[in-house]
Amino acid sequence: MASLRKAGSIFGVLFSQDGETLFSDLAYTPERVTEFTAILDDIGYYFDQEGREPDALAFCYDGGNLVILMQDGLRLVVLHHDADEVDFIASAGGAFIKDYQMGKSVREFTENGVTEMPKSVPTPARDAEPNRNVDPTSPISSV
Amino acid sequence: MGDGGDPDNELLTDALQHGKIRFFRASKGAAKGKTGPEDTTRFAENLMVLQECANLLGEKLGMHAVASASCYENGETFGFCFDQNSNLQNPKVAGGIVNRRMSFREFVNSIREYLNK
Repeated sequence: MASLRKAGSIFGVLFSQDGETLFSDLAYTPERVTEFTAILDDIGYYFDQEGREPDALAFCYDGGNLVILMQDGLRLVVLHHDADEVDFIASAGGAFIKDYQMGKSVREFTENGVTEMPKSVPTPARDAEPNRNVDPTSPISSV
Repeated sequence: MGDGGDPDNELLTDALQHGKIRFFRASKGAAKGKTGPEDTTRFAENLMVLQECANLLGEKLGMHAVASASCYENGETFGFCFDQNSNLQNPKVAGGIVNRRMSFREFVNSIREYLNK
């Protein structure tokens, strides 16, 4: 998180889960941060009610740029000055969320005293569903 | 998300097959596109949602005048750009949907190029 904060033109980071702020260095009052976190949650709730699953939003304003990453109640918000950094930030932020979720799973695993992987975990080669939505002729770009 | 419907629309079919951006314009409360009414309606709905998100978030952060917004959802990228040269009383917007996740920067630049055509 500290690394993300120091990279490039980033001037604020917020990380929340289910409406609770886990980390924030936004240059706003705690009250405003709380209100902002609530709006993030409202947006997530709206999409959830509509059956939609956006995982990244990017906004460009006169005063700066905003990237929001959403995953399972987790919200990572990054404010940055340089619009050209949007893809790097989206990618790095996505990696951070995945790492956080993995770390959380490992902690829960060990706290429950489980030392073996559950047998229901699918092996990728045998059980993975093919992505039927992928057109092999389309120029897929990965971010 | 669905593919936008209208299997007879050649532009839509071509765009979906080759991962091309489907472009749209909006002004005076109406959206226009060439990939069929269902696809255009999807764009209009996404436009309203993104604009609302941009306004709510921007207001709280003290940021105004949203220039562009884009979103990844499942295997799609969609978003819009405001035409900075349009009348503030009647702002014009261009946007797009593409059935793949592409660079936000590239996506927004493509819409801006379309705006300037």
